[in-house]
Amino acid sequence: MNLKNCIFRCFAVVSALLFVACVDESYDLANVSGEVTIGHGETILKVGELKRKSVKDLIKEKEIEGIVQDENGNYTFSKSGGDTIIIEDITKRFEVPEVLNTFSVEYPDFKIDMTPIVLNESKSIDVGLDVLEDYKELPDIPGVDVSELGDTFYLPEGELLPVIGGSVTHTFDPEDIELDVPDMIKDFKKLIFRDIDGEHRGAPMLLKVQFNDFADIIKEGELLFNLDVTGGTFVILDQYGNPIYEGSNYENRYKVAEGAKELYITLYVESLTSVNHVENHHIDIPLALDFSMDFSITPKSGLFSLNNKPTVTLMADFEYGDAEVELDPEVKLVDFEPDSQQARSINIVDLPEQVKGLERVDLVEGQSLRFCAKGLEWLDSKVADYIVIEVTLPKFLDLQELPDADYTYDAQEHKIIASIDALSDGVDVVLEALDFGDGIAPVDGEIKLEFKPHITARFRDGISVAVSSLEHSGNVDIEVGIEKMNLLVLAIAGRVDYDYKIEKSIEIEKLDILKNLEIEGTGLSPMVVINIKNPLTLPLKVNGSISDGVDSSLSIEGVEIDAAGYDGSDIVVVERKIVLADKKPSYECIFVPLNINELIDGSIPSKIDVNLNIGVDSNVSNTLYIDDDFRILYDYSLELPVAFNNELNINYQYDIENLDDLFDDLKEYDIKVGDVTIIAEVMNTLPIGINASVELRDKDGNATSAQLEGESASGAEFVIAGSVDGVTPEYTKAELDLIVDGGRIAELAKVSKIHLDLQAMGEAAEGKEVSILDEQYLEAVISVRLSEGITVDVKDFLE
Amino acid sequence: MKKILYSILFIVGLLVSDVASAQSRTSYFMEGSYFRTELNPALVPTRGYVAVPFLSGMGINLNSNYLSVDNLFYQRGGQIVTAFNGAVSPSEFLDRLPNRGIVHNKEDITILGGGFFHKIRETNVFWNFGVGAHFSVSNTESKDLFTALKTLGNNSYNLGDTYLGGTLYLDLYVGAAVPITDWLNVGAKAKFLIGILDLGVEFDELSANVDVSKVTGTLRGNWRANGIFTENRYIVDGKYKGEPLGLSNLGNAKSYGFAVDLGAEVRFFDDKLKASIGVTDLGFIKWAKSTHIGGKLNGDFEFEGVDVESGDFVKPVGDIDTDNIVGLKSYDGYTTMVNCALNVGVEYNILKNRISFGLLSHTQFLTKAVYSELTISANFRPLNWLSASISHTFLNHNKFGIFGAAINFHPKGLNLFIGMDFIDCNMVKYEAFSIPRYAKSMNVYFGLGFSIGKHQRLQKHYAQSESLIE
Repeated sequence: MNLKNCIFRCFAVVSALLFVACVDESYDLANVSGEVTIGHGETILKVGELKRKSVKDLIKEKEIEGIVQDENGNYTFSKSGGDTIIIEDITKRFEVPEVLNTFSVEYPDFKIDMTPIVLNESKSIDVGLDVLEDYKELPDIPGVDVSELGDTFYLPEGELLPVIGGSVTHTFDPEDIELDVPDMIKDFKKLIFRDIDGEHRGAPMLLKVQFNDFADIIKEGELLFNLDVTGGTFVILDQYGNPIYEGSNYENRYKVAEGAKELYITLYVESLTSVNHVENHHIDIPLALDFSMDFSITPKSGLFSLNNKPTVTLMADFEYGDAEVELDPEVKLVDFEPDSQQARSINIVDLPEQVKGLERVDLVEGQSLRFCAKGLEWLDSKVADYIVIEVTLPKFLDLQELPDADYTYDAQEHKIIASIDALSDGVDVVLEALDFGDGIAPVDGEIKLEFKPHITARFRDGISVAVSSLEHSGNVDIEVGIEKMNLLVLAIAGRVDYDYKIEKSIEIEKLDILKNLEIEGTGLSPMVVINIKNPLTLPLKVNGSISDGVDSSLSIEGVEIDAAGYDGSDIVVVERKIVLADKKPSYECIFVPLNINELIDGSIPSKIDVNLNIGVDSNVSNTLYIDDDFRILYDYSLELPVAFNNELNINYQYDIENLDDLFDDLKEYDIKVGDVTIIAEVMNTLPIGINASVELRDKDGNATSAQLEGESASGAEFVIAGSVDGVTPEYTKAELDLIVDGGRIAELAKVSKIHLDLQAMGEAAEGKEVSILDEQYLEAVISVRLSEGITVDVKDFLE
Repeated sequence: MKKILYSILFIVGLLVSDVASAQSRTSYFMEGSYFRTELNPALVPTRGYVAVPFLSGMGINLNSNYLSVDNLFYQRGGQIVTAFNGAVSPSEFLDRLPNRGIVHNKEDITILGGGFFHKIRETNVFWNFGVGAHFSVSNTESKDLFTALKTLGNNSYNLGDTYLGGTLYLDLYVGAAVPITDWLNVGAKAKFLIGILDLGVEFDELSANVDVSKVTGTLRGNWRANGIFTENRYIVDGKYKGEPLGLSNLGNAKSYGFAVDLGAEVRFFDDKLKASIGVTDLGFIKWAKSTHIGGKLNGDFEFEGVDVESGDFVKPVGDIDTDNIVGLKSYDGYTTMVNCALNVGVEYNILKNRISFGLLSHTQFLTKAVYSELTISANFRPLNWLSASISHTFLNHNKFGIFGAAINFHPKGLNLFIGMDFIDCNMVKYEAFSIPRYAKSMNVYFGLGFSIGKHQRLQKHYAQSESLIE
C-alpha cells in the first residue's frame, strides 16, 4: 500500500466515521411539546384603571345637567322648569262709541232799542266888557270923544289893549236813557253811541261859536272849552276816530283866528261809561252835560260896535250804537237736558266671562275722552270764551281733575266746565274710571250704559261784553257728545272668578344612575319648590297635590298667594314659593308638608306630578289691574341634596355584559395560567364605602366554574373604604384570586357577564351628613399578578 | 401578477440554490476546486474550467450564531420541549444565546463562467471570468427578543438592534491570478455590478417596557426597497399605484456598482507553509434615486390596561404613524457596500502536499454585523483528480463534533464538488430525517463543472506532486 492508498483509505475511514453520526432516537422533534410559557416568575401587569374620577368630572361627563352646587360647594340635583298660564280673556282695551248728538236750543234775543237823543241849544255869551268903565282911562283918541261912545267904542290902533273875554255856562239835561235788556245782562258798563250816518264812531257833538260883532275886533283869541258829564265818563274821539279824551271833564283850548266870524268845534262821544244796574230787564241811564266856555281876545284898534254879542250853539245826536254790559252768571244762556229718546248709549263689550260683577273700571292714566260742543262758532271767539258750558256727565264717568286743563271738572257733580270756545274745538277730558257704584252684572259680557248729559251755558262772572257780539237771531243747534275713543283699562273692580290649573310632571330622568338603587335611609332631603308669580291683583288660592306617580302623594290645601300690587305705573308681581321640604329654612315656606321622605321613599321616582288649582274667590270684590301681557308665570324645581349620612344603604346590582366575544376565542386553546390574582388598589375620598362581591356568570345568569375568590370565605367579596369626612382619602387594596379548573383560561369562555353586587354605605360619622363635593374622587388601579406566566400550546394555534 | 410570482420564485430559488464554492470554508484549501477563487482570487484550481450554467453550484447555506436544535429544543423527562416551555429555565436558554443574534444567508450563482491558464512570458496566469447573481439576506436581532418571550415580566427590553435586509445583484467579472515570484501569487478580480433589488428594514429603536403600571413600546424604523421592480413615481398619497415590474424588466436596472476581489498567497519553506489573504466583494452599489421607495416605521404603544370607566377591554393606547409607511417626502440615491468577506488562511502541508492542515479565518462584513468563523481543516490530495477536506469551525459556540467535509473530483473534463461546513455528529430525528443538534449554521454545497486544459500549478513544488501522482 503506497502512500496514496494509505491516505485514501484513511480519508475513506474518517469520512465514513464522520457520516455515520450518532442519531439520538429519543430526541425526536416530531414529538415536541407545543407548550410555551410566556413569562417567568411573578409578573404584575396593570390591566385596568379607573383614572381619578372626581365628582366634578363625573357630573360633567355624564352630562347630569341638573346637578348644581350651592355656595358651599354642596351638590344638589336640581330639576327645574316652568310655564305660563296666559290670561287671554282680560281685554285691556275697549271702545267708547261716538255719542255726539245735536240739540236745538233756544237762544235769547240780545237786541236793545234806544230812542235817539238830539240836542240843539244856543246861548249868548255874556261878554264881560264895559267900554266906558274899562276904557275911560285910555289916552285920548284923536277925533274920538270917548264920552260919546255908547255901544260903539273906539280902540286905538297899535295900542295895547286889555283882553276882552266872555264866558257861558249851560247844562244839557236830556231825558235819561231807558233800555229794556235781556235777563242775563246784569250791569250796563258802557253805552256806546254811534253816528247816525254811520260815518264816524261815536255820537257827534258840534259846538258852534258865532262871534257876531266881535269878529271885527279880534286880532287874535283863544277859546277854552269845557264839557262835564254827570254819572259817568265818556270817551271823546277826534274827527278821525282817535280817542282824545276819556274822563268826565273834557277841556280844550282853541285858537281864534283874526277876524273869525265863527268857530266850530266837533267832538265825537264814543261812549258813556257808567255802571248801571239792570232792574227787571230795565235800566235807566242818567245823562247830563255841563257845558262851559271862556274866551278871550286881543282886539284890534278901531271903532267897533258890540250890539250883537257872540252866541254859542251846541248840537248833539246820541244814537245807540252798542253797549258793553256785564252779564249775570246766574242766568243760564242754555239749559238743556235731552230726554230719554235723545239719550245715546255707551256699550262695554267683550268682558271676560270670569267678570261676574263690574263695579269700577280704572283706566290707564292719560286716557282721554273728547267732549265737544258745536253750533256756537258764530260767536266772537272772545265772547265765546266768556261763555261757560257745563256738561254734567253720567255718574259712572269719573274724570281726573287737572289743574292746567282748559276745562275744570267738578268731581262731585261729574260736571265738565269749559268755555264755549274750548268746547267748540273739543275738550280732551282725562277719564279716570268708570264707576258703577255697587256694580253691574254684565250680560253676555256686555254692559250697556246710557249717555244723557245735561248741558248748560252761562256767562262767566264779571265779564263785560258788547251786546252786539251776543246778538243772534233764531235758535241755535248745539252738538254735544263724546267722540269715538278707545280706552285702555287699568283695572277693573268687581267680582271675578278665575280658575287655572297647573299640571306638571317633573321628570327626573337624569337620575337614571340612581333609579336602580335600592336606597334605604339615605339621608337625602329632597325638596320640591313651586314658585308662582302672581300678576293678578287678586289674592289666589292654591289647592292640589304632589305625587311621585306611584303611590305617594302630598296634598296642598288653601295656600294663599297675595294679590299683586300696583305702584301707580306697573303691576308689582307677587312671588310665592311653595316649598315642600323639611329643611332649607332660608326659603319662605308658606307650606310645609309632612316629611318629604314620605314622598320619595325607597327609590328615586322617575317623575313627580304636580297638580295645582289656582283660583280666585268670586264672592269677594277685588280690583284687577290689567296688563298688556297678562300671564301667570310659574316655575318649579326639584332639589335633591346629594349628601349622605351613615344610614345610607344602597344596594346596587350591575352586570358587565357582552363578554362572550371577549373570552370566546379562549376555549379553542389550551391556555394555562398559574396563580392569577386580580389586585384592585382604590383611593377614595367619597363619603361612601362599597361592599362588593363579584361573580362570573354564564349567559343564563348562573355562576360559572371560573370564579374570583377573595380572602373571605364567602366568595369574591371586597370592601372599598369610604372617606369618613369626605376629604381624607381612604386607600384600599383588594386581592381576588382567579379560580379556574386546572388553571385553564378556557374556562373563562363560559363567562358571559360579570355580576357585581354592590352595597354602598355612608361612611359619615354618627349623626353627621357629608356632602358630595367637587373635589371628591375615586381612583383605582387594577392589576393582574401572574405567578408563573401564561402557558399555551402553540400547536393549537398552528392547527 | 405573473411578474410578481416569477419574482418570488426567482428569489426563493436563489435562497435555496447556492454555488457550492461560494463561501465554503472547507474548500479553501482544496487545490482541485475552482471555487476557491471565490474565496481568494490568488488561489487557483488545478485546471481550467467551464461552469455549467445554473448547475455549477447548488446548495443550502444558512449561517447563524445561535440557531441550533440544541438551543431551541430541550429534553425534559422524556419529552422534547421548546426553549419557551416552562420546564426550561430562562438562564438555561438565554445563557446559550449571544447578545446579538445573527442569521445570514449569502447566495451566489454563476450563470456563466470559466477559467483557464494562459502563459504570458513564461508566467502562467490564471484567467477567470463570468456572470453571476448574488443574493444575500442578513438579519440581526437582540437577545432581548428571546429574553422578553422567555421571561416576560416586569422588565425593560431593548430590541432595537434588529435589522433585516437583502440584496440581489448581478456581476460581470474578470479576474486573474498571477504568480509574481516562486513564493508569491497575487490575484485580483474586477466586478461590474448591476443592482437588481435592495431591501432593508431597520429599527433604530424597538423597545418594550413592562412595568407594573403600564406596558409601553416604541418603534422607530424605516424600510427601503430599490431595484428593477420599483419606481417611486408610482407612489401617490402613500400608496404604490404602479404595476410592479418583473424580472423580465431588467432593462429597468438603473443601479450600478463596482467591486474587486483581491488576494495573495505567500509560500514558505518550499511551499510547505502557505499563508494567504483574500478580500472579496470589496465594493459598492449606487442605487438609483428614481427606483427608490421606502417609508418610515414609527409607532408608539402604550397599554395601561382596561379603561374601567368605558369598559373598553382590549383597546390599548397606541399611535402608529401610518402616514409615512409608504412614501417619503423626497427620495435620494444611496450607496450600499457589498457584503465584503475577509479570508485569511494558513496551510502547512506534509507528505509532499498530499495532506495539509489549514487554518482559515473567515470574516463576513454584513450590513449591520460582522460574522466571524475560524476553521481548521485537514486537506487530503491523495490523487490528482481527487481532493478532500475535513474541517471544524470555531467561534460561535460551535461544539466539537461539528465538522466540515468536502470532496472534489476533478479529473480531466469534469469537476464535481460536494461539501458541507457544518456536519453535526449529534443528530436528532424529525420523523425520517436526521437533523443536526448543535450546528448553528448549515450548508450543503454541490457543484458541477467541466475541467479543461492540463493540470496546472502555480506553485513551485507542483512538479513534485505531479510526479508523486504519476
